[in-house]
Amino acid sequence: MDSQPTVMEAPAGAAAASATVTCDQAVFSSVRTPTGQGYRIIAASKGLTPEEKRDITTRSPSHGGLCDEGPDASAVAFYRLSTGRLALSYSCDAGAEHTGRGVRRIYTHITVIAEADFARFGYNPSNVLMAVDACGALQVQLQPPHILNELVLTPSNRTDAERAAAAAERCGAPWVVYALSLVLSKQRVVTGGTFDPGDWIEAVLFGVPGPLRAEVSFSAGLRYTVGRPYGLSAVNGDLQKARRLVRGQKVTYLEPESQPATPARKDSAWLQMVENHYRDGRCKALADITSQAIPDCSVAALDRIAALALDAETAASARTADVLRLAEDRADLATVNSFEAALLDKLHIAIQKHLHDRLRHECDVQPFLSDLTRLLQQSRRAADIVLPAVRLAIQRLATAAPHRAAAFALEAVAACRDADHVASLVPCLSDVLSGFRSWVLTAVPKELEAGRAILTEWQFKRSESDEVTAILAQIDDRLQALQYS
Amino acid sequence: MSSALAERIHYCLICEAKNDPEAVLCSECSAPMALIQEAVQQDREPCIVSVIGDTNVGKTVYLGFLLDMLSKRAGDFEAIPKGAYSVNLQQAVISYLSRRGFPPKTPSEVDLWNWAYYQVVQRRGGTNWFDLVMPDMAGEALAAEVDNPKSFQVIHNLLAKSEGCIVLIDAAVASTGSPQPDFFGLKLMSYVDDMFAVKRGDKIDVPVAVVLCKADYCPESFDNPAKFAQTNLNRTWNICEARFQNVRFFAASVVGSLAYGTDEDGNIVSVPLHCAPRGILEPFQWILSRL
Repeated sequence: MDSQPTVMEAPAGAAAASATVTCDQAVFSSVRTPTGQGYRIIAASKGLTPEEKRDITTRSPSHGGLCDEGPDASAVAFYRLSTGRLALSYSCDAGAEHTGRGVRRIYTHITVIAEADFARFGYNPSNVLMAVDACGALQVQLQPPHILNELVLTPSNRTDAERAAAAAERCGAPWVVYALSLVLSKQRVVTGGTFDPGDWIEAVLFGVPGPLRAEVSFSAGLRYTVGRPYGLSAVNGDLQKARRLVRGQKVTYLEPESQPATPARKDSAWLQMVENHYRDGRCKALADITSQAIPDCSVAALDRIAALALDAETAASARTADVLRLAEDRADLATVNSFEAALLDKLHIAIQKHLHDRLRHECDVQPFLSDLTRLLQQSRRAADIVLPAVRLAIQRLATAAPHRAAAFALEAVAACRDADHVASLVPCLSDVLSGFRSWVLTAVPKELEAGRAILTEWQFKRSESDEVTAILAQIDDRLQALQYS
Repeated sequence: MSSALAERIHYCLICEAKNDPEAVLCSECSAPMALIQEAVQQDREPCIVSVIGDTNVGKTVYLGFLLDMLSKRAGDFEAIPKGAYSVNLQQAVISYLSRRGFPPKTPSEVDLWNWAYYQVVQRRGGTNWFDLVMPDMAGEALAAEVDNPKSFQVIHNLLAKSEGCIVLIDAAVASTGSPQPDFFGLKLMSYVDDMFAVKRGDKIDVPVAVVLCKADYCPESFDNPAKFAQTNLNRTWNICEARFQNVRFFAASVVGSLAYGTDEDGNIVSVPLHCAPRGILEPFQWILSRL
């Protein structure tokens, strides 16, 4: 174990390309050197300040600090340093300690990253850790050079939601959401159980808005101690001891087997959104929302964002009448930033898709026509949302009941406030007239009368069409023929 | 029960932070809340005596053996542990040594330290009972605190409240010519000097017993500990002479003879073959006489 250095470092003096992130690193372990022995920072890059080294020293575990024992034991911790930078530590077993006193040596590698760079990893500590691992820095190196080079990491903001999904499934969505509610209220949480601590942390973190994750310190696999306060601690092993230590502390110990209490903010749209995603196993979709650079993470703003996401769920699954009401409510919603605007656009697309899909398969489109007309009239944005559905409705009616299609088309054209919208309906009008020609041959006199009335109105309103005159003549001929027969 | 002490039952004995009545450990410094509860029960302000020294110097073994000797009425002392937790340290040390092994290292995490709360009286020459609190601190934590003061708040507060200090220095390593014990001793005394800062020119009167540990490796240290320190730990000696008016040097050893082996990773493992305690009680006795 004490043999050769294996930590791969960034090439000395390498110019950090824009595609990479440069950060500091340190190693905390117990080795004997000419200047001392015992647990301390045995190597660090030059950029670490004395304050950061002090923070790292007090946060890093010594022997017995990991929940598990044995060669495969490991733990991860994430916390903010007093300078404002973020530290991500990975601890593992590194064999028997050199003192020969029967204890295992714990080796901890610490990556220190600027908060701005954290965003480039999708606000996901797992992504940072994978990048550090990819450059070989997590390999145990008990004789490192005293001064390490800076780490040059390649950021990625991939969202591997499988672990979180599995943890949420094992613990139950309400339970993860309860933990999340405590974390968002800045309460400290300790939990332990049969699940993997890292998976559980990831499940809760995915519910935390990206920019707030820098504020959520956590440890996974580190034994709980009062002196190392983490916002979120997932432990395993001796849970009885952890339960005893949290007594009387400002910490909530969550029992995974028990029924979770109702979240402090039970009316929170954000928590509801997270729970829905976990319940339906849509962790990736959740991570896609939460891992973004959300510009405003206030409670009100998060609830607005969640409301839009919940509406998008409604748009995907609700009855068409409800979706039309949703369109009416949300078409002209005012947003306060580009993030919300993008979510609103997605909601509009979801509504548009729902209406289009439903009207394609719905037996009778008639019940929705008045709502569609009202939305065309409501505003330009509302019209944008429903226009494809309107065109589809006209096309479907054009074959089955052209006189109704013509009436609806005329209403739709009249309702449009924008010339572009009218222009986009013109091809449908041709379809309606084409439908008339074949329909006249089979329609009964009553329908023909109705058709003639609507075409007469059409001719009055849209005088540019010569085709109408021809169809009117066809209707007259047909009526005459029917009369004689 | 004095009301002043009873009112403090929810306040940490070490850092005086207010804690929840259910708390097992202080939420600020992680010291056990049982200490203040014992103090309230005894209705006496306890004396804190700190045993400090570098990692691997032998703090745990020294303190464990000292407590065991006291509870066996060595030197005409009578010592009563207050709370079962007070016995853990001596039990661990004696158990390991009887199995020819040294106790495991004390972890840096404060909640894993052993704390001893003892009532002690020396029958010969007086009947004053002392309530003594003696924590077994981790050497690494001490080193970190010395290097960056207040990184381990509990150590800072403990030393600030200590009425006496026993400073352990590895005489065996010092006798080989290594400057490390001397430098660590110098740092430690400098830290203690800062802690009890007095006006320039005045000396600190907190009693400090400097114990030369593992003295069986350098028997000459038993003959004249002060001279040994002046020769082999000159920097420490000088600061003691310059800044402390109540300081005395002692030599001590616990293990009679050692064997050596290697573990599975090739590390050298010391095996204590038998115990031959020498000079364990004297520093404590001297401190007690100065309280």
